[in-house]
Amino acid sequence: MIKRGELTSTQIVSLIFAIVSFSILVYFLIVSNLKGNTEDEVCKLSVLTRATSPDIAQRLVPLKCRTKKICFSLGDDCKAFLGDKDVTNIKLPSNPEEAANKIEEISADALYTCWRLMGEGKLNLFAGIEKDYKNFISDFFKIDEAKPYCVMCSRLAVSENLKKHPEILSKVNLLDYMEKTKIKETGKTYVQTFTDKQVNSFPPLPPADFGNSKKQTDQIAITYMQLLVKDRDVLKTAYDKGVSSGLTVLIGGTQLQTLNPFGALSKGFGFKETAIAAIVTGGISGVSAGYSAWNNQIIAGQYCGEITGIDSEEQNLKYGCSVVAPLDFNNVESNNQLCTKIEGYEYG
Amino acid sequence: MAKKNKRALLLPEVISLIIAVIGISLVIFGLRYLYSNSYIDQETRSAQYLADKMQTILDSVKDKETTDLTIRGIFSPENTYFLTGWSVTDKKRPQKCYLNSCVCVCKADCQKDGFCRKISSNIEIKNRDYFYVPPAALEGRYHLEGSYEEVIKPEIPLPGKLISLNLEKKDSTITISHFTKIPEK
Repeated sequence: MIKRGELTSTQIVSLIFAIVSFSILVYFLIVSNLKGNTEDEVCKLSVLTRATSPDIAQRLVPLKCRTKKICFSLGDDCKAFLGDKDVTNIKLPSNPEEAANKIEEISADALYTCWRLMGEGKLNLFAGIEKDYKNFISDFFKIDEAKPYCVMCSRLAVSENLKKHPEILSKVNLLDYMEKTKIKETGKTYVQTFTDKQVNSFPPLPPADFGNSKKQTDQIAITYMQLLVKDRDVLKTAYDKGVSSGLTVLIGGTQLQTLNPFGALSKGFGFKETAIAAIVTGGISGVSAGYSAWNNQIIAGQYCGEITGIDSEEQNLKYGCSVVAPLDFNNVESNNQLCTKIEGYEYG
Repeated sequence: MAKKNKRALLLPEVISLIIAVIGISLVIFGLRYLYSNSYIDQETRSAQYLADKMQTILDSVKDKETTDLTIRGIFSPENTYFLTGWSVTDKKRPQKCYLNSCVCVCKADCQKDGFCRKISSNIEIKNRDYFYVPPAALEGRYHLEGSYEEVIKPEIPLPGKLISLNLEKKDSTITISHFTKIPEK
């Protein structure tokens, strides 16, 4: 006779089946789903988590964004990534036109992806990292006590063999590519996407000579930078001064030449709480001989205006400027002027 | 008639057991998840990665070769990570280095929290730094504003930004140099 409540073998088997089925279901729902997420999705999720956390908790939420390493090559490896793991090697076609187009495509995509993942400059990501943001911006954005923070989204390098092929590198024209090529997701060109459709093409670039232009590098870093200010008026004044004084804005010693989408009507432009295009100069000094797309003048996505964060109002850090730009990885001084600290990680 | 088993498990006991196991698993999973999402995990893995990377780079430098290297420091709230190394002849090297020359990325104490990797050559670390000497300490010298005195340390700090290094290999000894700019007045 079986005692009441005692388990029969059928019940035990059913229970085991139930537990195993539940475990498999949980595994597929959670674990496999997490593994299936691309690095970009994980990064985006961490960015949103950080931005929606109270400032005090932001310190506890790391940005899970890995710096992607992309090597443009003709079959060989990039010396710049010696010792690095998870390097994506892009073997370029032998046709110079096609090879240059491939470099443009990947570079523009790296810029756009970085901008998109970081919330297009509108998310407050660094307010809680340190608490000593006060009187952040001084004249023309030349910030003595500036503590801009960065995320290095990707590093792009050229291989030794590729450096010996100026016929490929000289054909790379990132500005032109970004003006003409549409992004599938948005249906707009890169330039239109970066600028909220305010800009269709870049005006003629002012001459730029900020020194260091003769120094060559074989690697650039697609870097997202954000700095926060407590007062909109401070930002407005600095920005207006920058616009009216030769369209130049200085951030931590790196010069941003802000393009005015309304051309000569600079007075009417004033301060726009929207995305604007900018050219970063001085931060990069040419990627190997003939890498003209990044020589002296480079396109950057920039946003100055109100940013979103849970405690932003409490700390009065409601406004800020965010920039995504390709910087010379080997120009340490310039990079460190733009980035007090670099978040994210390199390991794969 | 089947013999009654007095020690058989009863349904409520089994269910309690299962709930307990699931509960404990969830707590362990939650703690593991929290840890893997923390800065500590990211810091530690970044330090390991940098140690591995330095090992590969240092072992690839050829004799009489000089090269510049840009590395990324470790992003951590405390900013205490540093790069150092010991030659096989150095008796002060941590036990982690065993009987080898090694390069280490450490947080405070290399033996406790460092990541050391063996390298094939002897190693020398030179961090040319400056420290401020206030006027009062400059006896016999007529400086009104104090001055910066040079000091060479065997540790290179690794703050969470880019760091420029110079590597030079001579007579099977690799020298890693780092120069800190004198702070502007």
